[in-house]
Amino acid sequence: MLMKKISNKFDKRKIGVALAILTFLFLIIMSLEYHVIKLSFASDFFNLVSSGFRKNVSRSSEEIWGVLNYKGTLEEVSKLKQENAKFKEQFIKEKLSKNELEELRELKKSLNYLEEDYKKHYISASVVAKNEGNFYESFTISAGKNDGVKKNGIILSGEGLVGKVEEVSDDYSKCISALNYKSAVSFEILRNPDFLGVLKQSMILETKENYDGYMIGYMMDIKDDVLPKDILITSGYGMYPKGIPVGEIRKVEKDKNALVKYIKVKPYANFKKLDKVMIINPRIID
Amino acid sequence: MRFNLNMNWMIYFILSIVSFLLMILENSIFNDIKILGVAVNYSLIYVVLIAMFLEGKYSIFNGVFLGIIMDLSVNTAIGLNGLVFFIVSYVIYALRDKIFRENTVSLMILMVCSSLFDSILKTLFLQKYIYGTVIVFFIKNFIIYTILNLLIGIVIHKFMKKIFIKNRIGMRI
Repeated sequence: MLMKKISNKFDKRKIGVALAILTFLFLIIMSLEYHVIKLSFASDFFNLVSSGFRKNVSRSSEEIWGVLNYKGTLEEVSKLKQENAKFKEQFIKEKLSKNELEELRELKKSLNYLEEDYKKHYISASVVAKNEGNFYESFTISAGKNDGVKKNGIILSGEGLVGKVEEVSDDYSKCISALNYKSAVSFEILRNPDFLGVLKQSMILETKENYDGYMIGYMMDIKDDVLPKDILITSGYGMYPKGIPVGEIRKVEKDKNALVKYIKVKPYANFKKLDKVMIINPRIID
Repeated sequence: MRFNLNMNWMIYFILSIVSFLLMILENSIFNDIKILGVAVNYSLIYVVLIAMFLEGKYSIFNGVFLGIIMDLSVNTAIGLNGLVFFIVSYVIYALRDKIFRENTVSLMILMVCSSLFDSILKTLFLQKYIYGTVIVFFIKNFIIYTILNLLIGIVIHKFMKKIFIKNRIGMRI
């Protein structure tokens, strides 16, 4: 009776539309705020199909570009040769210092120093899909629960920090770029590890400076003498293990009252050319 | 050559396949191509055009299906594209008597409105991911995004007009 009364009052089509909108709103809120919508099976199926296509596309575009840009390729080869020679030299130096390090470790043991029980376990994966990246950069990688990936896992590329794992299904994981998550990343300056700071993405109202594609951060101490081109690495506080390259400072700015020193950072990871990534599990998992 | 698509299931099947292919192409190629730092939303253009050319039930199904598979494959907000595409295709269906499908001005109005609606909804729901300067964000995601969708939409509309009207595909005149 009640249903009949309601359907008489309202058009059935309108009720259908309202119900559909409410269902979508429910799905959005649940997936964004509570992360309870887990459609692993469906996600895995769609990503399985598109992953093969993306692999072939990126391989053939690389091959075509390599042929067309043969001069650039030759230059790159000579650069790589020079770099290789440098690395060989560095390798010999590192080997020498490794012996010293082992001696120090033995000393540590004899002093009963408690070491942190965290070991980096690298998982490598390919990027199988990318979103349009207008509002936020998100991408899907070809590794999931079955490969040992966990939520909040840290995504790295050859260049540095890329992002974190937002959602894990059996064989794939959805990740968001470091530019888009608002949790803080603690860093130190490579030139001087005493210079510490925090990177925290936010919406800025006051400035006309373009922060698109850049990270925003501030120094813990305003007296820290940071300069453009200083390299940032993770400091080891929080979920990020120490030593992950983050990016390079492009601009240093003090706020109006000269109480905070802000920095504009160009991340090392190139989000446009992201094909292969590595995942390491975060240090603290709730 | 004229197509005769009277069988319901056949239309649903073709729309699903095209949506699926578009999702794969967008996730693997189109999203890497950016103009002034903005990627064109081909799915939205496709949804608007299909809603203009096909009957309501097909276009709404098409919007919802494409939106959901897009969300499942790569987006973290499940249902957001689904909601946008559903509302866009439903509104175009509701306005069917006032829209001339071969008219470019109709397309331009629909394209601008749906792009702005998409931007507003995404700004509302995706606040936790948005960063940077307000003015740059606004110019990129509202102005450039709308203009790009509009321009690409006009080009695709010209092709679709030829195919759909010449071959008399679609139920609405």
